[in-house]
Amino acid sequence: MANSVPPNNPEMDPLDVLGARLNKAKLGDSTAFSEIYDQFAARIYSFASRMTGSREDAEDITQDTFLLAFRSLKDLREQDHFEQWLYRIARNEVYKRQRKAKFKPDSLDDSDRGFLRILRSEDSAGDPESRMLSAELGRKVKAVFDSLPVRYKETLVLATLQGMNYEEISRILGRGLSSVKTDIYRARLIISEKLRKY
Amino acid sequence: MSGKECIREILLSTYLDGELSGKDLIRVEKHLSACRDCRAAYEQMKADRDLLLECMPEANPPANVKHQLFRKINAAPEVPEHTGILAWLGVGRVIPVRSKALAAACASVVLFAVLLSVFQYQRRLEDTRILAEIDHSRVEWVARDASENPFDMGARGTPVRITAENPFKSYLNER
Repeated sequence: MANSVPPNNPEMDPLDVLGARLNKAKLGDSTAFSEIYDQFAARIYSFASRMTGSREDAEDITQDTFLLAFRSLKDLREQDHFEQWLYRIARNEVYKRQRKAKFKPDSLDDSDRGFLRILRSEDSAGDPESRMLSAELGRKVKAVFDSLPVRYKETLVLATLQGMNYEEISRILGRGLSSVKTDIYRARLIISEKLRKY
Repeated sequence: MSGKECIREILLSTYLDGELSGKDLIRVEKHLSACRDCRAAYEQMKADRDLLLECMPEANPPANVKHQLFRKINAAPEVPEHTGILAWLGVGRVIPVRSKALAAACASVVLFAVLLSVFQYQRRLEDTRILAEIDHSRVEWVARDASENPFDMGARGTPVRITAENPFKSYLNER
């Protein structure tokens, strides 16, 4: 197999490293694509998970996104914007699933996975009562978050949870900067208003 | 806030995301240091953001996602290589068909359509040939003057009568 690109080569710019991996992956080098997967899988999976609220859907979306990305690499023009391109594919996959109305209310084991993680992380520190309160709070936050219109949800996820800047979000969503800015603000207003009601 | 008008909350949201710069950044920071209400609003916004981050942490997909993904990647080529008539028809290159079965089905339909067209064309040629071969001697025109145009009914006043059998009859029977 072709030599893989050193992931932590201090002499190489991260974009150059990614560019080298992409060039190899474009030629069908699955090892290079494996490194690309390792670099972005958590972000794409988290994005899908936050958008759908379902672990199973997030897994499928992650897999479909990377598979489609691998098969479409030849169409990628701007390698510097690979991550945004990947997000656009993931977002399309999310919408595709929404259109097929495959979203189902998940069990506690699935959709509340993140919140259970909080519980587990506090096992050693907190008492059962505080853990229960944390779990309750987590469910409320999730309920409030899930009630957001998709347009607001995706901007808030990208800005707040995925840590992207407005320009990147604008590129992913194909919307203007002022629209992105307004949507994030409105999403925050809704979240704040609903959380205060609890 | 003493005297001055409070800044719009959307600016606080943009500031929270680190998207302000220049004069706006200075104005917001200056205002926040002086206005208790706006500072409280900003702190609330920040607390909500932290709560979201805490409740929905980033997570890695399970290992089986990668395993299944690369099984699919390694199982099928990026774009299936088609040979023979599929390649000639541009399947996989001009026509982005990825499944071999689907490509074969498409090629079959195209082939069938081509064969059908050829068959129809040959049949039409055959019809033309048969019609041309009909012996006009079998058509016995009874007219006052057979050398005249039998269809010219006006000039000579005698209608044309065709006594021969329909010359197409035998042909149609054969069909």
